[in-house]
Amino acid sequence: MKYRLQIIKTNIINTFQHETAYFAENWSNLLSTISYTLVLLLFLNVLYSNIKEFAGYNKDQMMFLVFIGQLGFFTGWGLFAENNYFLNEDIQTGKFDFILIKPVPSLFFVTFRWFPIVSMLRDSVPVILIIYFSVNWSALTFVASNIAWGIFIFICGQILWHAVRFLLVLPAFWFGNAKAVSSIAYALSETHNIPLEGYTQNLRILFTTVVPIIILAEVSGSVMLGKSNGPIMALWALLVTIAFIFIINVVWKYALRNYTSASS
Amino acid sequence: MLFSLRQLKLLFEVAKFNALKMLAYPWELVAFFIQRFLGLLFLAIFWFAVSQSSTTLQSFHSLIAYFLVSSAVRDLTFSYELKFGREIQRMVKSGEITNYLIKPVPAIPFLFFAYAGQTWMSLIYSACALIAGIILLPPLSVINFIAFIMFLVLAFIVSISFNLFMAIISFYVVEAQGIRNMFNHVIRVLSGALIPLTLFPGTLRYFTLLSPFPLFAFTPTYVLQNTLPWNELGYLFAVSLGWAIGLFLIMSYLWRRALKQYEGIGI
Repeated sequence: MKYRLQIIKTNIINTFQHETAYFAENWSNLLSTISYTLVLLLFLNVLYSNIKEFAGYNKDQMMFLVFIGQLGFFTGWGLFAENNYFLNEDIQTGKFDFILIKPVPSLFFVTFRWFPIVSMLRDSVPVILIIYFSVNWSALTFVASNIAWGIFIFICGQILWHAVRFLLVLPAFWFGNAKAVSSIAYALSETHNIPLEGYTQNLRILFTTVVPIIILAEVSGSVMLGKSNGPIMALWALLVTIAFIFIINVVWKYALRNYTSASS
Repeated sequence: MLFSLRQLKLLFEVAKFNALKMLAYPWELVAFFIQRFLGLLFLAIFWFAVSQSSTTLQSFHSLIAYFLVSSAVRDLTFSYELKFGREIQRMVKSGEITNYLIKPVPAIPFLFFAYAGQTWMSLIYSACALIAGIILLPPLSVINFIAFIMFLVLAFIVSISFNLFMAIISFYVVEAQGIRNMFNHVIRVLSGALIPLTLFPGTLRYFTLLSPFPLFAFTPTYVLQNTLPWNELGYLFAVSLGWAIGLFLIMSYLWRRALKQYEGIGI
């Protein structure tokens, strides 16, 4: 455990040095995320100028769902998405050999090698604050137990999103490149703005079991707002998370056996 | 002539060569179509849920037709995430662009044809989406088709200008990803790619239509699917033409200026 924490510490320092190398880039990214938020709010305002409710969510509830969705996006994508991108590049170029010869657990290293705390904070804090202050909190009713279940589901959802993204990169071990395959995750992230209740029954089952991408924001948001049963959803999220952690470990071992490296 | 026949032949060879390169990873092609299909699927789920929530909105059927055509327009005009500009940004950052600047061919057309070759599957996707959109909501007359093609040409010029702008920025700031993302976010909503501009409140819609962004998705789709009075069509055309000519001239000038201050290795 101590060794693994040391790896994380080294990776955080390395990432920090890398991230602060291009100063102007930090400002332009800040502008980018702020513009994204403003455009998102404009989109919601335009949408709700045409409708009163969307899948049973009024504007305040929808704003809350967007808040949860963005929180999930920035923590999960901010911390782990780049690692998957690097993994694909390394396999394609043969640099993955250098990871295998390092005296570190390979799965752990490729999951946590890039720790972009600067960019995560830079991109997420302004966005989250803007959305936070745009939510009419007084119009929302919360129950403490629902919030607790919601947070638990949110954590499970975060692990599951990472699992989905990670599994989408692994075909690179067989085909040499999984850039477009892993980009499917970007298309899947379009689900963030659709409430759980907006999906048909079959799609709900699909996206909470086979491709469990709506547990993070949609299910946790629905539970926090009291629209879904907290304990049942939490149990379901836990079971799916355990299953996916198991799947990742099995597929990783299988993928390593198939890795032929660039030079062989 | 803008290009000699020999140069044009060479450019098509460049496109062909880059298209063939993409065949090396067939699963990537499959993944590309899955990705695009999922994008449309989620958009459909979203708007299905929206149309269920309101009786005053456009029908789900016409909304899907709108998004099919508008997504085709985004690809056909190369405005989808300004990826051509991103490609040049990457080359400028790595210094790879030097290889193209020293070739005895015009750099931008050369780079564009190379990029277009790499993205041939986007063009196939957009052709399928366009045909599906036309079948779902057929245009009422041949004038719609003519207007669509005219606006598509203008949209292409404006899009290339925007892509060039992204490339120009990278000559001045090493890493321009954030600026490009900012434009992409704005374009996504103001182009009508995410929500039809017909749903915008009156004043906001008026000012948005004055900007170049609707050309990337809304305007060509709008003229294809609706019979517009001549004065409205003329107004949209005048605004679009103004942007196309203005932006093209400005970006051509800025590109030449940017090249002058480029310090590539070996130049």
